[in-house]
Amino acid sequence: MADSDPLLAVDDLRVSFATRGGPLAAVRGVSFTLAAGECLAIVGESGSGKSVTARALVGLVGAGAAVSARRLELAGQDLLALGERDWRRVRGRRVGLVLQDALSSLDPVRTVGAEIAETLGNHRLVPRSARPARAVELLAEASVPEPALRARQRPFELSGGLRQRALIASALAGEPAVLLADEPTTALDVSVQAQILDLLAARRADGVAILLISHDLAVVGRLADRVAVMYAGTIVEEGGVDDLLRSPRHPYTRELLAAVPSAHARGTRLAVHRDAAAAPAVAAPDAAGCRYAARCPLAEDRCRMADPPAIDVGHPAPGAGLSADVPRPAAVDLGLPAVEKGPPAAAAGPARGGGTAAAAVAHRAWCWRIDEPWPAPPAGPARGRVQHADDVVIEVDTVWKSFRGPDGSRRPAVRGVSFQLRVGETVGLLGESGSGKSTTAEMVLGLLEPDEGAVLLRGRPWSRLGESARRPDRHRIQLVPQDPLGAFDPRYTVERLIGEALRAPGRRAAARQRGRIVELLGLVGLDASVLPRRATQLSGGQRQRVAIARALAPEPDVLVCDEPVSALDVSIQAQILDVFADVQDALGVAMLFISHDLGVIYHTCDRVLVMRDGELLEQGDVERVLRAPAHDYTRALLAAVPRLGPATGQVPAGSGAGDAAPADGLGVGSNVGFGVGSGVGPRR
Amino acid sequence: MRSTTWWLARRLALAVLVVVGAATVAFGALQLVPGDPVHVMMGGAAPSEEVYERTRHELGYDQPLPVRYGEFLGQLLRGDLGQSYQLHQPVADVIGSQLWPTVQLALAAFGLAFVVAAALAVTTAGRRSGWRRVASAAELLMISTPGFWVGVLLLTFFSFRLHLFPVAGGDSLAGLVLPAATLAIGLIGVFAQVMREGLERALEQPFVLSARARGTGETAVRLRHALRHALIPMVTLSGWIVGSLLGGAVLIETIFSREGLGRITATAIAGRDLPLVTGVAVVAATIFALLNIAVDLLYRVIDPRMKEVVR
Ligand SMILES: Nc1ncnc2c1ncn2[C@@H]1O[C@H](COP(=O)(O)OP(=O)(O)OP(=O)(O)O)[C@@H](O)[C@H]1O
Ligand code: SF4
Ligand SMILES: [Mg+2]
Repeated sequence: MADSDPLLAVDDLRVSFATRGGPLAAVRGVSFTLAAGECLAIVGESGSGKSVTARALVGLVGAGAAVSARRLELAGQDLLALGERDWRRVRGRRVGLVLQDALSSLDPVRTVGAEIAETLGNHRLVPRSARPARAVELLAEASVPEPALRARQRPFELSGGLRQRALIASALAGEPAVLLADEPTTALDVSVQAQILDLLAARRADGVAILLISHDLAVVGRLADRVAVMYAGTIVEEGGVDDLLRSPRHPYTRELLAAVPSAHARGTRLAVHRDAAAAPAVAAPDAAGCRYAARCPLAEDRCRMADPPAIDVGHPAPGAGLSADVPRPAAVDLGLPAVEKGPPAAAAGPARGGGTAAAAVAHRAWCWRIDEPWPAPPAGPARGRVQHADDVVIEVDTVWKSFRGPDGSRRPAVRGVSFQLRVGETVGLLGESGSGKSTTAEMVLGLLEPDEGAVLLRGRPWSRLGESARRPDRHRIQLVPQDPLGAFDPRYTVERLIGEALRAPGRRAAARQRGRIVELLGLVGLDASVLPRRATQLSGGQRQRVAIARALAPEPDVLVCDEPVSALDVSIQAQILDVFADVQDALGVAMLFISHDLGVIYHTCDRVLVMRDGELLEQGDVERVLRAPAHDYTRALLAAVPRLGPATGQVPAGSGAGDAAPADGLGVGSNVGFGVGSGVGPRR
Repeated sequence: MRSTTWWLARRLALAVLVVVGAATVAFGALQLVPGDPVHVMMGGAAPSEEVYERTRHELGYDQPLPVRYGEFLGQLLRGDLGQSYQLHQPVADVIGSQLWPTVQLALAAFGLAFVVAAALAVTTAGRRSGWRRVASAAELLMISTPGFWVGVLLLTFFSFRLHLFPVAGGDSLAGLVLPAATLAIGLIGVFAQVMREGLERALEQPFVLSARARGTGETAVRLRHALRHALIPMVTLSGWIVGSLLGGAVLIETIFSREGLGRITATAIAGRDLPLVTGVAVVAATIFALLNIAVDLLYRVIDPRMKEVVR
């Protein structure tokens, strides 16, 4: 990459924050370069410093932060020397920033058009009178349908995907050469996610350099040319996207890849660590040694003494790993449909250039023991998921439900849905937002009455019961929400939150139940130390564990889980999915598991229901539905997934590798999650 | 649109209830006040038995309470607030003539407080400067200083010493300056702190980061994006604001010997002028109720998301 001057050059970037507990080094010596028309992805878990790195590139890390670097250059201009005024000329004009959550990243009280026009105005790109028209044009360029109408709407009036496009349009309005995209697709439905990635890919083809930040390796695999893996403020491994995802060498990268839920790991554990309290990703600034040592299964004394050196990993033989032929150790194979990684515009940088690009990118890892074999993730106690008894806990019989729309007309939300849920079984409910998943769940929970049809609990009527008739059985069905923070009273301690669910309301009553509460916490991998904490004092993963413990408190027969992991990053998500598996093994509860993530559904569920527009399109055994979908829509959903086909060989032969699909070359539907690359072929 | 009309109709019905309620409370409270209203009506002189009885009958005080209450409500609904005992004028006329000066005073004070507080908040929010410390200290002082004391100080300094503004009375603009400033001072501190907090919360939102990343300057970020969000908590304060303004007016008008509802109220209470007190209560309740509706409408303008929430 040093062959010509890159567009963006970052060398030894360090950012630390002054906090009450002393300085906190969020970024400690990050180096990379980015050329025009190239996409570099930074991946890593929450708190690893990805966002701070991106914000340092626009000079917006915030007050109280100390930023230093050996080199921080944009097209040869030293960014470190910029004053606030000069920075303003860079922001939006030369570097654009797109944040994750478009709803909160666009001013909710202003119109989308005004937000886009702001960029134009700041840099005096277009005369005032022409700005609204230009904003509409920019929306159109971001493939927003009815751009003139959308420009007059406010962010909350748009769907998630449109909002994200509008945000991208506002970041690109100044035609910047570099786009920093910080988790641009997280929390979007797969199909919307695919559209956004297409949009970014098109910009890259126009020569925009993209720094893509994500914790979703599948997204990265679809868009990036190169990947840098960040852990605790440092880059631990970097390389060409294929190289790195196929043959990850750093133990952390391998952990990350293993954490991606999909079919390969059905019946195995995803996370290396069971307990929530995995080592903090950020330590004191001056600590020497490998930051990952506390979590690393390969760690030895040497690792804790000195910083590991960068080791050149080398390249796999050309052509290797492109098709189904290589279940090589620690290999990840990509089945990548759809997005065309077209060649960059004429002036594009040297790092890309068709098939030869990968060979030019060094693959390096910062680790002392790069060649050690990676230990198998603790294989779950062989989960006998097939042996659930045949008794039906919940029977949903052709339920219909409609709501009154804003214009007063009735809109059907659920249309004639039927399914059964048996003891000890997990049924996935798959569909895009607005497909009626949550409405169905609310009817199962007895929070909504179906207009027609019925829900039966253990063979007895459950819907259309008076509340007093329902009350004695309410505890049998519990909810695990997507956002437990919203569901918890912020003033209550964990002890009290769970005590409440044990019918011991109040502080003192809860304290009397402490034994049982600690037992419940144990089920979800927490210990008594969290008892006195409030919800806001817990991490996202801990919070979700508490939510599960709370749902389990009244000994329910059924857990309804509404997108329980979609707000969590891969590593934490892996832990929580493991918790669900443990809980089901231990207690045999039935679960209705709502998710829009196919990988998650594949990993956790026995059967799956696919919904669209309130209709149940198909249902059946998860293997059958996701491997040989009967409905076109399911096929389309599968095709839209940015796919990271995890390695068969990642879990060393024997454990869990057996259920990998054969390389049948039958096309998209058949290689879901297995990613044996069948039918898709080489990417470039 | 239909929902907005419906919403408005419901709110207006509610407002009528509130006004009737306030009138009832005023009516009830005055029954409890010791002293004979007939004596008040007749002035200081001791009347003869016959005159007394006649007046008592004219005023309806020989009727049982429920009948009097019924009549009172009937009059109220017809818009008749009765006759003032002391001023011997229809209450509606008295209030009508005194309302405008008070509204003038309240609006001027509110405007002044708002502008000063917004300036304080915008220049100090999220900054750890010396100026912020000075501003915060000044706000605390303003919150904790009694209005009349500030009024007397201002009066002494600007009127008696500098002869800049008229000492008392006066419908002129110059006559409005000191009273409005005195009334505003009590509000500025609270306004500034509420707005600063709102601004600081808004400045931490991702959309502000987005705006900055577009190259938007600090002033524009604050005025264009954050300030509007900071106004939302202000709107929730509106009840307190109207209360402070009307309550403060009683004091300020007395100190500066201004005409107005406040001063009339004070005299009416002191003189047990029952119809006038009740009339003021009804008018105040009406203002409150209407302002509340206006404020909720304003809410929807400031924060369009409310259209979804408020029904
Ligand atoms: N303004 C700040 N003050 C103090 N600490 C901060 C600040 N901003 C970020 N940090 C800390 O810096 C570290 C890195 O945060 P960063 O936001 O870059 O993580 P991330 O990798 O983007 O995580 P995520 O995936 O959750 O977005 C975290 O420990 C975070 O708490
Ligand atoms: S240097 Fe040591 S502790 Fe760090 S990742 Fe490598 S083996 Fe693990
Ligand atoms: Mg981040």
